[in-house]
Amino acid sequence: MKKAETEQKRFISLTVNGDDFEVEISACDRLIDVLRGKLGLTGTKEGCGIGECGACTVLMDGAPVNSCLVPAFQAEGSVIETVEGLDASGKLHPLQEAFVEHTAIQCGYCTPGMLMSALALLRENPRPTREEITRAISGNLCRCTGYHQIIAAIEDASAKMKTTE
Amino acid sequence: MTLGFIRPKTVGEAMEVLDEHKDSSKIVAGATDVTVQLRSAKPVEEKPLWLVDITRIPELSYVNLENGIVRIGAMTTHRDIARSAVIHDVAPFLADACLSVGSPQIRTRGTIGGNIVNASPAADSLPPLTALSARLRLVSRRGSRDVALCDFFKGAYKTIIEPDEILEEVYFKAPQPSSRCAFLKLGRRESLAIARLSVAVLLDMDESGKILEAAIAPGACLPMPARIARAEQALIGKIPDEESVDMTSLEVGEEMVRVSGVRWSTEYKKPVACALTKRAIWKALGVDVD
Repeated sequence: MKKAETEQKRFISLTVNGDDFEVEISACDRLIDVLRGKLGLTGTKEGCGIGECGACTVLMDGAPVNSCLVPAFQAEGSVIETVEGLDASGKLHPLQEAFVEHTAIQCGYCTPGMLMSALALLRENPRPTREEITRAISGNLCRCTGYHQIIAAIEDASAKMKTTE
Repeated sequence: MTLGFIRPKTVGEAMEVLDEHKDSSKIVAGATDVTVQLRSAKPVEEKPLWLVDITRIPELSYVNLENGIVRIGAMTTHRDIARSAVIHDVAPFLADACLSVGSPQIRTRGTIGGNIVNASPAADSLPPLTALSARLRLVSRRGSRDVALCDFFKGAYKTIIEPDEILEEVYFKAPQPSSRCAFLKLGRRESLAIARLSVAVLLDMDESGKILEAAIAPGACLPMPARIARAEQALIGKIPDEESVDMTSLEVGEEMVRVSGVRWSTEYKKPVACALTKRAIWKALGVDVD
């Protein structure tokens, strides 16, 4: 949009990957601008910027959202999880391991969003069917890897996460 | 210009803010449309714009059934409606419609109130709400008013809502337990697709299977939501058979052309509107035609 001459700025606090942050935002900042621009969490990618590709998917209070569509002011007080939180312990998350094992990554641009959609699914439904996996990632477009490897990786992660619980 | 945001915590506070900034405010709910609109290349107006964010108003998010009336708060998300036991029980086609919106990510944020007020002719929740003869409650500091959903729209993307008003809830009479319903949507793909055509069908019948009441509301082929009376009349009083269902479906296609005129897409849309209606009627009746 045409840059507003004066934009109201305000500090908001939010939790990202378990850490509390206070950041200054303006009215037209989006959640993705906060994550990438203010917090340096560039794992979350911006694809289309209009909510159609899912590359920017993060979890907001546990549910998947397009961070390009969430105004930053709406993120105040929320709990955000991004791809950087997956291997916070220094070890790849079982989903990430499965994506590597199944070659479910080619260019990798859709991967952070895919992982977050898959994480939301497995938390709610630890043993999903193929159909349920397909639906859960239906808001994430991949244009090179191919969905078969991605679905297989999520299935495999689900089986491994189940047995390690 | 000045761009700012205000986050009221109650409907009362929101009404005050809207009253104060009548001509310079825009309500933001799930923001899935507003964020894109604000960032579009179109030049913005040279006046201050206050974004009035209503996502912090818990009293606007609910689905309940009391005395035969289903009430849905305007801030209820598509995700919550698609998962609501009440909606699955009394109007499963509304759950299906909400589940067909955008993607899981969009449904987490997008609200039924936003879907209604945005007034897109292709909005997924509108055909079932139209078939249910839903009503809306609009509130402002001046008071509240109650309008039929079908009277709320003035045209594509145009409604009668005043700048100081908020849509508080949408409500409808729970259909008879004997009624049957279906919603079908045709998009270019299954997810993240704007409806090219959709249709909602709600039928009530007696024990012999004779249709007592019918509501047929197509989407994405009329400038604003409407039921097709001629199609409904072609079904009422009959036990549906191939002939009466075909006749009913043809009326939907004819009405589309009468209202929307002949367009470049008519050659495609007319037979598809008929076919989709036919399938929806049979689906509502529990007959698998595919």
